[in-house]
Amino acid sequence: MESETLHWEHPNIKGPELLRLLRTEVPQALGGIVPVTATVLTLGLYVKGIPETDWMELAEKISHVHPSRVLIINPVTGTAEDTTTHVDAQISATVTYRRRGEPPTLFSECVQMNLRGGLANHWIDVVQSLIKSDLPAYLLWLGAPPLPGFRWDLLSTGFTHLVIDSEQIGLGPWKSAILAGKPLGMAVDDLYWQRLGSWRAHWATLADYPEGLSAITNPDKIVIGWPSSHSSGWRLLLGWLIDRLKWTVSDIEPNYLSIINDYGQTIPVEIHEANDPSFTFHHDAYILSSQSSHKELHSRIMKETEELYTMTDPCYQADPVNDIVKLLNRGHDQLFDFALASLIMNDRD
Amino acid sequence: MIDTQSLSNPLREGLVESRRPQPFTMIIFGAAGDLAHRKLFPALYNLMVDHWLPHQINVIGFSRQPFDDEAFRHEVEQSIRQFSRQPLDPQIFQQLAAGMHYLTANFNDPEAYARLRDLLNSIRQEQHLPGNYLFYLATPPSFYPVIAEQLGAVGLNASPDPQGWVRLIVEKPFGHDLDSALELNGQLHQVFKETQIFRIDHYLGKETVQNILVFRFANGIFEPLWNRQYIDHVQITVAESLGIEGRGTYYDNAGALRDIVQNHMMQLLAMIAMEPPVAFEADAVRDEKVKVLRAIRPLSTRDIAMHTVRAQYDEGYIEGQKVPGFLDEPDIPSDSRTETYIAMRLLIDNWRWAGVPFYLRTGKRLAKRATEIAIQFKRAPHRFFSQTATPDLEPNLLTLKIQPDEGIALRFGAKVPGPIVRIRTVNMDFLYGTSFADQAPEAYERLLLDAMIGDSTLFTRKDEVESAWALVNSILRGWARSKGAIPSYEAGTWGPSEADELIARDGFHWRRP
Ligand SMILES: NC(=O)c1ccc[n+]([C@@H]2O[C@H](COP(=O)([O-])OP(=O)(O)OC[C@H]3O[C@@H](n4cnc5c(N)ncnc54)[C@H](OP(=O)(O)O)[C@@H]3O)[C@@H](O)[C@H]2O)c1
Repeated sequence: MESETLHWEHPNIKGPELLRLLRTEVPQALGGIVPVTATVLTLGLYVKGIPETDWMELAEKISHVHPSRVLIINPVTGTAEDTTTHVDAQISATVTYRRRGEPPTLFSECVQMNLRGGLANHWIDVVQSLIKSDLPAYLLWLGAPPLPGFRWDLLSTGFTHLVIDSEQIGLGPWKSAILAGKPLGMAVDDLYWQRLGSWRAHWATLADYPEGLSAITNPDKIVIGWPSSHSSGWRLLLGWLIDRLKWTVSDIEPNYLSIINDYGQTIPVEIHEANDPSFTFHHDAYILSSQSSHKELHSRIMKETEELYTMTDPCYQADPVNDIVKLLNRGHDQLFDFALASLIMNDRD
Repeated sequence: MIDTQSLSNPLREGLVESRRPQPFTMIIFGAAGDLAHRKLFPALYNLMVDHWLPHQINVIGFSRQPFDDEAFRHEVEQSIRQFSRQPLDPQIFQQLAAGMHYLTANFNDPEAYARLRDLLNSIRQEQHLPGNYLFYLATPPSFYPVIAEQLGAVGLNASPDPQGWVRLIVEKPFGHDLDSALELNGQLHQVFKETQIFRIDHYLGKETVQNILVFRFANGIFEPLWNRQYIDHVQITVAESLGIEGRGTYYDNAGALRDIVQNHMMQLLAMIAMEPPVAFEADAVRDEKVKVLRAIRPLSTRDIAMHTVRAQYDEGYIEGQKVPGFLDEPDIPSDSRTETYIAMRLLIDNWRWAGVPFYLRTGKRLAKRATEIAIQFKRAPHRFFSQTATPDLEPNLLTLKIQPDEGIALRFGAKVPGPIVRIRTVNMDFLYGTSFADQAPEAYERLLLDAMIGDSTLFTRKDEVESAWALVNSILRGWARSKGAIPSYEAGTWGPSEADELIARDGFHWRRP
């Protein structure tokens, strides 16, 4: 299938003007032909304060896989010339041609918006009107998390999903979004949770073996090593285990947790700092240890000093395009909500 | 040794990465052949690239071509380079190749099966593997019973581990007629249980064929209309522009009815017409498919004369190239009565479909390649626009396009802009290619993975095969009795005029895919 990407620049326009341009520019460029629209979702990229990135390139890569309208939201505050309310916009549209004689297809649109003046704070107003109706709308928040008091209620009437990445800053700053979004039907998705899927799948495979199954699901003790005890990483994994195995948390300390399993027995969980993330499950004479290093996740099951089984899987690495493309394929993962509910939402960290 | 078992695994529940098989060894009979090279090795490799395979997988090639392990690995590498949808990555290939072995052996040689058993045992012990075996019969069909019997004779029809599994994948064609299919089922059942047998129909591995069920049963708006009240008739087309492509001997023995109708078209028909299964599980789905196949009204001799048409292609032009007629193709006897085209009308005698005709047609050397199912709805009950509507306003038509352009189209009438009511037919088109840019896996990848996991939903069960053959058999018998000339059609057209007459008798016409 042939395709071409058309580009426009529109400095200093008013917010509503943008919607009109999106409706009219492509047909004009195609000599008056209204294309068939293939777009299946809206994707917002909130990029405030991140320097020196070609967002249009990233947007085009994502929309190459998922036909979408990508809105790059860049509120600009600070300098004197930014005080008048206006938008500096760039638009690109990819049009594909299937066959001679058939109308072309508008495959995707990418819009970069540098929002200035009043719009730097009230950007939701402009963005709302650009979100495609009745289709999923994701907002990937790449900048620093918003301050307390942010109008999540307004945002969640437009976006159906807020996408975050808790690897660097943890989940603490997002708790208010998770709480506010839920009653309004906005799901929160975490790209870090998604990457940790390599751990979950790895353990699920180990649990196909009887020794693996009993070590993970019925441990006497769990020892966790993680680069920072404040990280959401081990919490998300432990939260997932707690939910799946119907455990309950009875005590949370900074470096220690106490869990009750479904037989009422206590499982102590120790957390200490270590360079490479690891989980070790002790069960009778068996030890199952999993460690991630050099992009690999390696596990072994030992019975006393005898090594019974080893397994190595690739560990998913952060990649903005791949991560979001994968998330858009799969949609919201309910296990994430369950993991949050079982550990993180009641944790002070 | 750790052996795997199917204990319920709470960590699998809800996991997006859930379908990974347990470690196993795959044994390919006929590993030096065309199917293994074009489909099986590339499918295995792509499954490995996409992380679907277990950590330990061994593959044993079993065929008479003399190879050693190294030469076999080289063969596999070449086939991946040539046929894989993803390019060969030497590191990943190395992982696959490390577990590849080859036995130079004749299918008829009992001693070879003892060697196979010994090799399997030594792999199992050296690598601490569970005794899970997947046998793939990529051989001429006459060897299916031979190999099954020999496997039974050396005890390879059951796993040496109490928790292990043994499965047998059988290629098409499954039988030449009803009797031979029954006989083959009987022979396989002497050695294997039905739950161990996976009969491949690669059509069921196609994304768009699976999507028929999703489309029908995951969307609330179509099912209420999916019955005799609203549907006028259904047309199923499997059109090929190719000829017999050097497979003259095979094709002359088979013909379009056996090659396409008995398996692929009966599957398409079953999926379009079946009742909703109680669960998306192997037996629930296949129970419903069998029910609908059994409800197809048997064809009497008169019905066969009236409601089936067979034909052979004559010379003609395909994409500007002159092509020979069927009877002039290599390996085809000049008095061959094998059909390269068939059109037929079927009725399904059940509550949902009483009185709704299903028209099926398939052929080689037709005007273009297209596999589609078209559902034509009844006209609106009261045509109050009849004064002003354009005469060519057509009834609503829902088309499920399976290949080459996968998608769904809905035809409806819309007002032409202007001061008077004029109505024109328009199409609402949804194309998979535009809404999902992800590369879909090949049919063989999906089916191999399902067999590795033990999910037989997309494989044909004994009773399904037999029901389809029962219908086809009655047609074959009817045709054998009629001695008249076989109609012909010009290559590059949509088939013989007799087929147009067949559908015109009911007041319809074939749609143009
Ligand atoms: N090819 C396809 O695309 C395709 C598609 C659908 C279904 N199928 C089915 O798949 C099966 C295999 O088809 P194919 O095209 O791969 O056939 P093929 O190319 O003839 O392969 C069969 C293989 O079996 C070997 N063989 C034959 N007799 C043997 C014996 N007595 N002992 C040991 N090895 C023997 C052949 O060796 P030699 O080379 O020495 O003869 C060849 O390597 C057939 O049932 C076919 O109907 C094939």
